[in-house]
Amino acid sequence: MTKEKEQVTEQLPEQLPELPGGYAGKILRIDLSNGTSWIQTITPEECRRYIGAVGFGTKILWDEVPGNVKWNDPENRLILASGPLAGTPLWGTGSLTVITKGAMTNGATVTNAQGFFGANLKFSGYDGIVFQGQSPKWVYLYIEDDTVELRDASHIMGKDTWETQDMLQAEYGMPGHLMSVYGIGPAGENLVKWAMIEGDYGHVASKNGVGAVMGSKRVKCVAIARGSKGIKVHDTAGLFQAADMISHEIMNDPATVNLYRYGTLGGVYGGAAMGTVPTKNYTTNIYPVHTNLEEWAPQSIRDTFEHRGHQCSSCGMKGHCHMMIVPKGEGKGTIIDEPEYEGLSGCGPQLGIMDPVKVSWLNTQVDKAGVDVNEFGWVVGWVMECYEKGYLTKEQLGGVEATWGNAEAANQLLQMIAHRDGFGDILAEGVRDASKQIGGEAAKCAIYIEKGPSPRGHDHRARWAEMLDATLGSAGTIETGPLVKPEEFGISPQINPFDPDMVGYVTAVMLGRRHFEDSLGTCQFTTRTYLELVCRALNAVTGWNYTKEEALDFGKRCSALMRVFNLRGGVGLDVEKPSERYWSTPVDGPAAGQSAKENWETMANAYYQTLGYDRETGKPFPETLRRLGLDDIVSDVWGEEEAKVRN
Amino acid sequence: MTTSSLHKVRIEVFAWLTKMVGGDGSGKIFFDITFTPGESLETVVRSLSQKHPELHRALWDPDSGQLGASVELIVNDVFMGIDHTLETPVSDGDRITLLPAWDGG
Repeated sequence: MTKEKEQVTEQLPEQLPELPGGYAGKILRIDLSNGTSWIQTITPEECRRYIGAVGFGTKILWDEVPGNVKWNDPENRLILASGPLAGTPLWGTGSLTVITKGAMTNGATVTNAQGFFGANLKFSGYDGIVFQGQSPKWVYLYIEDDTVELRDASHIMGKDTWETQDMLQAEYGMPGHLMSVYGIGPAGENLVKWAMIEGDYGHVASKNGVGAVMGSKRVKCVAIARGSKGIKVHDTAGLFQAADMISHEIMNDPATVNLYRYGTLGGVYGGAAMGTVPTKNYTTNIYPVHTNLEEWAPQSIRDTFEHRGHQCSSCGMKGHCHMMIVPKGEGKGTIIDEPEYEGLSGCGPQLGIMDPVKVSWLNTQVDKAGVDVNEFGWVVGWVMECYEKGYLTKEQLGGVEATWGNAEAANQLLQMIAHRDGFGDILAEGVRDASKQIGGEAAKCAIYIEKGPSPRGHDHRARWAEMLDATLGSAGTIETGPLVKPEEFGISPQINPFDPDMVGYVTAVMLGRRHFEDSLGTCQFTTRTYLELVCRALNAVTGWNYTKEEALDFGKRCSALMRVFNLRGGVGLDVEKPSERYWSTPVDGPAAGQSAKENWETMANAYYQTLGYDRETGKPFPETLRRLGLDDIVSDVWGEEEAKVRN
Repeated sequence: MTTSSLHKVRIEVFAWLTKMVGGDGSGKIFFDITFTPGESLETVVRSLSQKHPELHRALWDPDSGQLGASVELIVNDVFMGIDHTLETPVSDGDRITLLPAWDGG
């Protein structure tokens, strides 16, 4: 085929400053509107302050994306970046983090994918890529060391995410891990609001419609070759020692040993007794009666499929990330990726589908179409409930019989959504907007957050902390996430999940770790141990003396910057609220009768107070901003006079 | 001791935790534990875990002695924290589930 080369210019500085280990010192900037590229260099001081993806990304958003710029405006930025540990021998260091103003919230977004992209980026000599503008026609970005070109994407348009990677790898003769291709499927091309970016066959940056942002810029994908450049490490022996300690903990700590063996594969099995698996759109916490729970035991799932490991860059977590072959039914004989827990829940119990084979197959169709599996579950589960209750008809759905447990119907709806066909055009806006458009009783069944981010794939009525985190967080998804070694910060390893004061307090105290990890270029599963050990690895690579306290503060600084970025863009307290169904009271299961709604204000107040945020305006107080090292934006956030008064 | 003074709870060890009590890592293994009235949930659970060192290590944080992060305790199908804390006295016939914690991804 013919590749049309766009105009590309690159201006390299004469000499880069001496940088800490782990850095290329170069951010690749692309202006799609005129097809130019250039290098933005970074200083050692900036490396220390912003570390990597989330740090640099949030800084760029704040500096370059004014409040009146919408997610699909050419002036929005789409940032794909990694961090100083990417490409090192530490497990799971191929991480990619996407930062942008996302389509679901029209606010800041941090969403993270694994695979090889982050390592390839570093081996090509870049710390990150920043897209701005909008291409006049569909292109993809090709990177092979110093070759950086926008190329015509005509031949891959309409292809799903796996086909796109297949075609480009074949075209360039770079199979396997010689090339990563991260991009959008039909959903992103059609600006489905919850479209994602997918790559390396099953790795997704899926939150807050980052695929729609990529689509709005008319970029189909980034194809990046392995690259041939090295990574400087300050203390190689120290890095290996830290990597060994971390992997030893992951393999032997009771809290992570099962992750090492099976990844998140056992979540539907284990979650049954906990009432934390969303089931038939929150109408129950008990699986359908025909369910054979033992089929969902992780080893049973492994035994059901022929499978083999498909681990990410440098990863020794051999029980996580497998590819497998569909043994029967739809897609028999085809290769699919082993779902993570959230794929199993979003395509499984949430839709009343309890056959692990059908669920796994459907999960890969979601990946290929290029939408977020969490929102997929909430959208299709809502349709199925409304169909059962007569709020939506077969005619409205274009002939689809959307009955509970019907995997084929779920796939039909998926394809309609990805191509915005018929009713799929309404569903493509996400369940919040779709349910409001339909209105009436149907609107009461929808699970969403008024701000727009999709709740993650658990029943948060039994996990209040994640409901609070997803609703009040500023990153387009959960920010604190599940607690990892909270005892490092003086918090009990297990808190009462229904103590609203404690839930709010702990969610706030532990905020920051995920942004720190996502800035390193690591996977949160492979660093799921003492933060002090993760800092040790960072220090070995860079030569710094980072502490775990600094790490949390770094993450809190990123979060605060995203919060004021959102407020500047009009995303405020009025939308920090779960839908009625989302914070409804479970009628059965282990959390029956527990009401997050009744305890909401207590939780939210504790969260705000602990973080040092103003409950009236949502802003971090000036003293909070100063404590986090954000002195330079106090006046922007509070105004000159108020900043002086509160100094 | 008369028959009427024998009080029992059933502890269910679930999924991969069964490997720590002689199982294969799947299904459930049951233990019927006799207790004296007034004994707390923690006492009863410790009486089992002390006989199984791996389970003990998984249940209780070695530094603080507190319940660790890797196991969820559910009593009579209800999360701990609602009707029970570790200090709550157990009752005859209580069913205590030890469930490995799972997170998403």
